[in-house]
Amino acid sequence: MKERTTYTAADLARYHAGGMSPREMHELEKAALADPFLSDALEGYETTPHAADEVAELRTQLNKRVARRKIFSLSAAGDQNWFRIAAVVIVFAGIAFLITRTLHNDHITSDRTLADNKTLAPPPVSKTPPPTIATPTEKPVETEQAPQAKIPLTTDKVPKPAKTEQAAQPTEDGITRSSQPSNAGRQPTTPTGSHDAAANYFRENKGSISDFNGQDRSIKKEAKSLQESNAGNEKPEGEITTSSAQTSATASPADHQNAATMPIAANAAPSDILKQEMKKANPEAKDRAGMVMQNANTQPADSVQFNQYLDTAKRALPAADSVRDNGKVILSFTVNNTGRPDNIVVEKSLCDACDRAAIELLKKGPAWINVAGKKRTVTVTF
Amino acid sequence: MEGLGILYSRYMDLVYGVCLKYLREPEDAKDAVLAIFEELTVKLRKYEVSYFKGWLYQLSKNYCLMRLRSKKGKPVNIDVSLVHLADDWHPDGTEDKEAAFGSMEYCLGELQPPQRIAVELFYLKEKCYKEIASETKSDIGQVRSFIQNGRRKLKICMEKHFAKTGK
Repeated sequence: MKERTTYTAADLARYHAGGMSPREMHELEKAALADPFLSDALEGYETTPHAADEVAELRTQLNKRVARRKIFSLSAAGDQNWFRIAAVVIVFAGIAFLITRTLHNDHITSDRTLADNKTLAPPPVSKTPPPTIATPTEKPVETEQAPQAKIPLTTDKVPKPAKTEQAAQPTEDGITRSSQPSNAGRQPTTPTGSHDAAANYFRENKGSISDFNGQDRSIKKEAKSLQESNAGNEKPEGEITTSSAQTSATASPADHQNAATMPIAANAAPSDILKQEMKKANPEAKDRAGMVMQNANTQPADSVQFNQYLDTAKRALPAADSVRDNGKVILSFTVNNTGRPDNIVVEKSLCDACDRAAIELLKKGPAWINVAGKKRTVTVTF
Repeated sequence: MEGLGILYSRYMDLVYGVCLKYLREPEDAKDAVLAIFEELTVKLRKYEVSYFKGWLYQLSKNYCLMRLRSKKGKPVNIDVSLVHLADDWHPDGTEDKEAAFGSMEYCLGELQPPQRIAVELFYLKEKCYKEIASETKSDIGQVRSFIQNGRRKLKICMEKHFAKTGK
């Protein structure tokens, strides 16, 4: 006789209700002895008289649950490998983006640091016309962090320097023009025109040039000569001394630190004196400088000093000669609350050294008029 | 999911019976049946199941026991006499049948009288529990217990006898 292999709740209920024949019961019991699952179930159904109805109700609930899960599984695609892969890819892409962004920020910071060092290098020998920054209008912004332009320099007032190794030459405006040799291995040169002025500005504004290449650039000597030239000269020079003292009094700690290592800076002219002198500047002088700063949105506080500073710093670049007159670096930036350029981005690169120099030039230049949230662009032509 | 639903539905009657056995309350048993189905969908992804029915039985039983434990906060005592051990000893082959019958005859005599009578009536006379209970004047539960225990002891005895005689 063929034994039944499956028993339903109705069969088990019928067994307990006495609806089975002894033969059927024996078969079921025999099957239950061989099947612990059935045996337990058989015992369980002994406790309820409505097993068939309860199981029917359960079956309905199960079907509903299965239908609900079916919808969920289709929408969530939980069992699909592609869904998991996509999720992992998205997560990794996000992490990669964050890492890239962080590294990019670090790179900019390191670039700025490198540029700081490079622009502190002494101006190298250069016979090419120095670049200038030409801006349509010049409206200085006087902030504590603005560069301490000690000596107002105008191209028309700057005497034509000769390639001499004079320690210091007082000019007609009473400013000492130093043409000290930069170092033993490098032939010192004296820039011409605004270049000379820029060199002076650079020295005064940046302090010890020799700090970078490890040689004494006779800053103290320059300072001394400057003081000497200021001693019995024009009124502005006297104002320079007075105002520089004021500037020192209100300077930030960083400025004090710079002043400690930059003797010339202590005698520098304040920006208001510089501004007066700048008014005398010949606009053509900017063009002669050769570097053009294009700025449609804002104007630097003191573009002349910025131009000359740029000029000097650019000539300090080792690779400057090779790239000069060959291209431009376009920088974009924003201006922070103190008028300093912030978030500087190289929009168009020329060379690594040039990019760094351009960034540094912009960074170390005069303060800018702050228009919050406005992105500015400058082009530095080499 | 749909396939699993169909598969589970096939054994749901048994699962409900098992849950009724351990939890006693129909509502608890219903909840357990649906919860076991949920657990099934998770565990089937982790484990490779070769014999679904046996695996489902263990899962259901364990779930009910765990639920009882968490509900009462104390261990559950299970009547050992009601525990049925699955047979994994099935002597087959014509040569062994003679020896098996001889061993069975010997071991039946070794069983306690209530167990021996219940086993003989159930397996040899093919009577149901109810009939045996009626004949032996005992209840069905006792008859089931006599048969299950007698069956287990019979198996152990026959294995030993086989090992002893070498047949």
